[in-house]
Amino acid sequence: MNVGRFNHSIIKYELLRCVRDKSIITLIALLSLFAMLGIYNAWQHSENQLNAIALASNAQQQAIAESAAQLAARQSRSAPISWWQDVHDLRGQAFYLMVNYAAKSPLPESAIAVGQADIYPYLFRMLVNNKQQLAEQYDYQNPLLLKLGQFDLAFVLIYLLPLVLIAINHNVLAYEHHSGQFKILALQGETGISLSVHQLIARAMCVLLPLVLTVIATLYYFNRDIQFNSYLILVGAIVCYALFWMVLILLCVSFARPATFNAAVLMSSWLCLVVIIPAALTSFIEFSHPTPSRIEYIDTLRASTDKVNHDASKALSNYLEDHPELRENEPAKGSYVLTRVAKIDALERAMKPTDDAFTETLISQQALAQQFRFLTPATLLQTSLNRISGNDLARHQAFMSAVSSHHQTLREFFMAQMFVAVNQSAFSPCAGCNAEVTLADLSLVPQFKPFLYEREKDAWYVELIALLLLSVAMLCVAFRRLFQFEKFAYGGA
Amino acid sequence: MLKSVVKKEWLLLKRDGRSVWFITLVVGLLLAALASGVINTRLIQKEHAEVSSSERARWENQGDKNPHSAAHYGTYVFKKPLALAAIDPGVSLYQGNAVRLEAHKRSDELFRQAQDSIAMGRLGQLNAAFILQSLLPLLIILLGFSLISAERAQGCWKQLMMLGVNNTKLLLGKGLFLAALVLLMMVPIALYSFFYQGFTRAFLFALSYFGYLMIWVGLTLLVSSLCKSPRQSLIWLLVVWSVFCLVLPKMVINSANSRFPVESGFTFNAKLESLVYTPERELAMARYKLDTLEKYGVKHVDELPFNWDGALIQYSEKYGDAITEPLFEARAEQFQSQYAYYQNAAIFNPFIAIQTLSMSIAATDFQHHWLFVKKAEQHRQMMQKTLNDDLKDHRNDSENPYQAGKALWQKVTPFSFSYPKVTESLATSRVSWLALLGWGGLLLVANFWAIKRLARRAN
Repeated sequence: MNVGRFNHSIIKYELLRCVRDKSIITLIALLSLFAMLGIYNAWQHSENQLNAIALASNAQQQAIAESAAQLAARQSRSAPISWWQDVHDLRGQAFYLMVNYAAKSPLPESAIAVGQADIYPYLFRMLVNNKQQLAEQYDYQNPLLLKLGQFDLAFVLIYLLPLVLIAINHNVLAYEHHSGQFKILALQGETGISLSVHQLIARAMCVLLPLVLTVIATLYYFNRDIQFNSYLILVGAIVCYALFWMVLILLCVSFARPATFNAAVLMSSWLCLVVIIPAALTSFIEFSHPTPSRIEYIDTLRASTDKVNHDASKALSNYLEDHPELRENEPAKGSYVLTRVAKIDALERAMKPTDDAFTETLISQQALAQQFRFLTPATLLQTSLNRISGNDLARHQAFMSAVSSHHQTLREFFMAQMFVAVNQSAFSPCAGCNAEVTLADLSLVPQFKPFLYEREKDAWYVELIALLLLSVAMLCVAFRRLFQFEKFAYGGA
Repeated sequence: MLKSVVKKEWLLLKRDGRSVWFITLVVGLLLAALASGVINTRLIQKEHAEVSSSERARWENQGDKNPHSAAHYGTYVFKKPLALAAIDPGVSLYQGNAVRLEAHKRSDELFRQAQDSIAMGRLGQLNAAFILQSLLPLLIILLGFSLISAERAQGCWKQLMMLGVNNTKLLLGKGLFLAALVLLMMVPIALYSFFYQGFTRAFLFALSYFGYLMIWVGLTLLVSSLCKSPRQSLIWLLVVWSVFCLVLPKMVINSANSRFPVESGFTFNAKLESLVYTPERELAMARYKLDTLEKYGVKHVDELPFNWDGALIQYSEKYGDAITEPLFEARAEQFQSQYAYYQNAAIFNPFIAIQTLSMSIAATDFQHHWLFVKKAEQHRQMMQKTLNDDLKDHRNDSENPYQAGKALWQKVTPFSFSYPKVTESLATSRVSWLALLGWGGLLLVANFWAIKRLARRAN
């Protein structure tokens, strides 16, 4: 028989076997169903975030509109009003009342992987206070849910896809070899390499084709805004990851051991590559770059706050040293509000080394994790999926940096306005009377610009190429062994 | 007979390089995880003690000031982990273990450790609990999947039955072999628990893990005796392991989250603000003022026999607490419902049973955390009342501003939180205990049934 046609028949036979085998069909159906469920869960998660952001944005616009509508009444008001309750008072707005949000909207691709999006904060209410208080703002979620992680597409792909591939392919070649069928096939010109490769291709097609189609269709159903490139990268990542596992299976079967042995070795490999190595790497990274203690952070924060309060008189002059443009408006006598803002600034400066230590540790840990990600396919795929979905550390750090800069802009805006108000005695125009309107138009308060993050354009292919290279390296070894399969299997007979 | 079976299996194990390698790997990982957990927990306990005492010193030595300024100055309280947290850190990475206590405001816990961690950590944390709950079952599977199925596949089973070997003793012998191996591996964990944690807690901890691992021994033997070949047996056991340890826990907690949703931080905080700072609050405060003036038969607050500011601040604190407390309780209730839903799934999954039990005994679950949070809030309210009552008792005006000192700060007792006795938490985890018992009983019966069935077939 023509070998080409023979191989074609093998593929056809394997496909038919897959379709007829109820357990294989059940596994494939379950995998696709889990993928759909995973996408739904992650989509639901991002929808919840989008809803919160939309509500916050509405509240911000409503506050501006209400303040404008109440302006005339406030200007003519003679009844006493406390500044901390007055939306038209700079001090009230700055320290207590401001409705000003900084948000990180989830990307359309966020349905692919929740990543760290359930842990990192995505919405901050901004006030003129020390930025350490931003730490108090996060979505309070069930810690058990965070510990176990989301059931998202990333979980299905990283953990379950290899298991299904192993379950379906662990007896590739081994079954034929140990049942004696391979000898008959070999008589017809079939080789170990050809049989195993064609079996693997056919069986992998049975798993990957429905999976990829389900993933694309489900993602498209939930979000039509996903870019075409993202689909391509995602499919590329799935295929490369599956390829790695298929080649590993091929390498394993090339040792001509029984299917049970293959299953045990492959399961052990899965356990090591997907569970143990990532966990061990995390422990190593955390051990080599230990995160500073947050309990000690609180201690430092308290000590710094005490010191700043103790040196309150110096805070304003120190602030003016860095803001000479305000110096000409410096009031003759000390002002509570100006000192308060200057103290916030002083505290942030005092805490900067401690804050930086956390950021630097996280960056060092991440840099090490980026290097170590090449050690297992699971971390490669996780990095890739988190990046596509926009729920990675780099995007979050860019967001935090934008939040920090907005926080600074707000403080500078209010400080400049407060200097003018203090000089004009607008906060206490006369004994016992209300303060003047010092903030008539809330739309003048700087607003957080929509957060746009330019993803590293060329980064996406690093993980894919790494997976391919790992696969190719293993493939070379597997092919070398498979070329001599008959010799291994039958002792050169 | 039992001894011979155990001896034979031990001999086979020694000859099989893979099994020895696997046992070494798991034991090595377990010891490394235990060591790193112990170092970490001790460090946290030390920092906790140091920072708590420096925070207390800071509070007492804050100098003379108005009690309300001291209320805003506030303090921080911390949750101290038990020694068992070194084995099972539970959910402590994912919740803040410090709370700020200050005037007018109830805060959520601060600084979740996971927020300072890299994404790779989400693929798994190498702690002793993870190894005991996930890897030891896998080891049991790899050591035991062929214990009976291989005998069947090789035809030894029929021969043994024909020789009149007692099938029950054969099963017990194989079970005993696996159990002995598992028990040996649990020794370091048990020793640490008994030395560094009270007897009851350590005993329950060890008992629950023993029960859980015996369930896996039973499950492995059952599947091994039901399957015709070791291959089938291994694949089925691995499927069961993946479903129990990976898929089901995630699916159940995600389902619990959808069933008992928790509102976003934005909605919750917006609700807190919009419900507290309302015109009704202004009205209530005005009414309180009128009632007080009427009660004392005076026309102006200055004529009251106490400082009105202190009374009003305390009234507004109580007013705010009465509104915020139910909101916090309702949110915690949702978490409790999610947890109960998750725990109920222990009936179908022993992994969930041991996970919830282990966290409960190690006091690293949400329930214990919530007790800490509630205690912190009680302390905050006591602190505010002490300060406001003092302010109420002292006249305060612009000419003679009142300033309290160390004597008052010391009146605010230091925060202390101790975990409830482990026996008290047994009630909340009874579903998990029952599930473990149920699984154990069921597997015992199923194993005897399966072995009798095999013996019948062989004859």
